[in-house]
Amino acid sequence: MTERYPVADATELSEDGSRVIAEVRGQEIAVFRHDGDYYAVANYCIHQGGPLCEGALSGRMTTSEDGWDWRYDEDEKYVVCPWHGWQFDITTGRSPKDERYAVPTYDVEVDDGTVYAVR
Amino acid sequence: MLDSALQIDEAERVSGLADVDRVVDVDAQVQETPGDLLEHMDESSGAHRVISLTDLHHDMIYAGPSSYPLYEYKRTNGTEEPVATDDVGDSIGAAAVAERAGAVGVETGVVNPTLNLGLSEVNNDRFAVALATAYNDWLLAELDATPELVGNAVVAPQHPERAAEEIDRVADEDDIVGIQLPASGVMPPLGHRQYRPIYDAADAHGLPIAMKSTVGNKSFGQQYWWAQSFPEDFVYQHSFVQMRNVTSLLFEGVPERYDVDFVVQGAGLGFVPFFTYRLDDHYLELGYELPALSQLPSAYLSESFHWATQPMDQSGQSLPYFPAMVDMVGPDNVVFASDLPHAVTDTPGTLVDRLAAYLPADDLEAVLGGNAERLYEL
Repeated sequence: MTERYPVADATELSEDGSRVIAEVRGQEIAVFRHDGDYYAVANYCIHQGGPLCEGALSGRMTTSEDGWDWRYDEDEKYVVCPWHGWQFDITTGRSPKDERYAVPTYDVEVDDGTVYAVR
Repeated sequence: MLDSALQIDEAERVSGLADVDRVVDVDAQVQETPGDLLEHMDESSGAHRVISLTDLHHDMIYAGPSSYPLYEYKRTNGTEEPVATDDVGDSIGAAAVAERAGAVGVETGVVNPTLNLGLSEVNNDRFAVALATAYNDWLLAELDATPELVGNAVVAPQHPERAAEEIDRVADEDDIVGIQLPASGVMPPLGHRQYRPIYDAADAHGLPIAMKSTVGNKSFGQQYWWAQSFPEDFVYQHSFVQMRNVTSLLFEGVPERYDVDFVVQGAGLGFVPFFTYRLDDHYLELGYELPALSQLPSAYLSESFHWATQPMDQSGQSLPYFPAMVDMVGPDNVVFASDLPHAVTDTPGTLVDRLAAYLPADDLEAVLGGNAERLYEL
């Protein structure tokens, strides 16, 4: 059965790109605000156990159809693990390079000014 | 403990080499001499003139000087004669290779050159192209009389358009089953876009590309020049050269763009597992710099890359490291290679000895012949 756990006051996540890290039943979970929505991700990198969600948020490099023209997509929804740089999309928990590589994500609810992680 | 954990039931094993249907050697080497090549060059050509001026000393043609005299190493080929002036003086033609290969249980061999493994280090592009063509003509003549052997045609990476024309020229020959793109000393490394005509041609003709490393040349950059002995050079070069080229091929997207099989030769299997994991790790970490790939590097390796077994790099003890490597690389991606007629030869019997207790019969048959049969359509 899922329960919801308070992790932050909504005022702490008032801007896109902001985050809080809270402990929920012995596990650290980060809640990010991105493009007006909230996303919760386990603060644990599946690579070697690093504190994934303490890393920077980044966009991604893309190329044109012909593989040549190089651009930076500023949609900064990828969290970069501070240990070895593995990246995961905070909205899905999946690696942008191979979706079989994924970290746990959780639903988020906001109720009366409090942000809850659901697990 | 590892030994017993990896062993398979006796019922799944082959009992010996005689049980194996067909042994295919993806790296049976002929030894061509400058004189052999000269005979297949137009006498009025510039390349013919240049070779004539060298007095047929191969190290004036390919690469030199060596890190240190190789004479004792060359003597391990069996001669007691001084080799200082003429260490590749004798041809080892297809008939001699076939005889030696047959004697150790090889039914079919795919032939590679010896001197022309150094082709990538020839500075003059016209000369390099001429050497490749002369070798291929010599090889075709050699293979005519030896039904047990087929061959890789050599091409000069110095001139990719001419290399592609050479592939077009020889691709329909029954005895040519693949292309040899000499791996050592090739600059820039083989993933660079300048080589696309070569991959286009190999793809169009359905020919696998073998990349064999060599040693005793200036293959591996600056550090090579400080090798104070031949062994100091020999130990590390092969695997480093292969890692450099395969990383380049993968990260520049060659297997994404082309349907070409690659056969990595001369470096064995030992480095392949950690190399594979490292490629994947860095793709997941820094993949934004590698836009040409649509899947993990290991997926391309699994689809398109084959690793030749020689040298097995085993201790004298029968420890199960080699079978563990075969298992980690994947038995479908491992192909037997002897490197005959050189002194570091691995025989099919050695492979059976080391693998039979650990690898199911089907997988062992695949490594010893089935994979190469499929790859080269033998």
